Amino acid sequence: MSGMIRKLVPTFAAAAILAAGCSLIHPFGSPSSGGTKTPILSGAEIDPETLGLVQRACQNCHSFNTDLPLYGRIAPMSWLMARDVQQARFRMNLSQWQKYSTEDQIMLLSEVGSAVKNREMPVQRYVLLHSEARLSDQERKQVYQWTRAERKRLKSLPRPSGGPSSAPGARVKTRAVGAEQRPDRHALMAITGT
Amino acid sequence: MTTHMRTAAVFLFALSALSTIAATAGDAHRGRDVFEKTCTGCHALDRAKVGPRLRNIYGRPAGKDSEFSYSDAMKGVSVTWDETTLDRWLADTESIVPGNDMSFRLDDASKRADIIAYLKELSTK
Repeated sequence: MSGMIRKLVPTFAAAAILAAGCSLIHPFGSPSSGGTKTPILSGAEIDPETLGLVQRACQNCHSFNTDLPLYGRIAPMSWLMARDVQQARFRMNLSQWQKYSTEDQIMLLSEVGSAVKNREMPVQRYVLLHSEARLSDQERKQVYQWTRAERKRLKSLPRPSGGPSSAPGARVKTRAVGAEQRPDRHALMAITGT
Repeated sequence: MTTHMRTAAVFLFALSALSTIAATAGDAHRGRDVFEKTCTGCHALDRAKVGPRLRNIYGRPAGKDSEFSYSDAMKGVSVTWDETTLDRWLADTESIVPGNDMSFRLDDASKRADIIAYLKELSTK
């Protein structure tokens, strides 16, 4: 028995060294290099309680406020998590909310509301590992109602005459004017958001 | 002479009608590409995502997919999806169901027609 363990020790040591070495490589970019941690939904009107729900359930992937668990720092898990975070930020980055055009904010709010209401978000495999992101039915309803109220507020605002603008790192296209959306949020190119 | 003029007028009218039909008739093959690029971020054919599933949507009453949680506005509407209603919906969802949850607009009429042709084809197979 001890002989077998003695034989396995070099194998485990080699695997540990390899994983540590691979963890220094970031083929999809490092989630922590996307930007400095800032308040999310800047410019939006949101009550503290609902903001707390969004922070709990959404911001770890959909903002620069990403807190990686220990296992998320070790390859290949770190690569998978980095890819997911970059895709999520590309789809919607709550740290850059103010940089989206009003029209894009309205579209994102409608997507968020419907996704949360229909249990598309937060994604199941994420919630399995992050139980704090789980939303109750009441909390889902609260987020949904906020998205509707915020959409209504944004729609009531006077439109700027210069047309919508999108900042680098934020949504590149305004989808309202015949633009085409990405085919699938899980099949996107990795974009760091910097 | 009068007969010739009448024939020419009929010919021109027919030509005009045909060109109008050609301009508005969608192409299902192109529609599939547009659908893939434009709609599948939120919709799938056979399962609810951010939006309801879209196979067999053509000819179906709006807001009645039991697998999807619609807005109150959508639940209460009395609309059946056909070429006219789908075109209005894709051009401006608010114009047909005020207060719905889909903030999306496709301004290109030919792309709308292509998508509708694709959805129609899927519903008749």
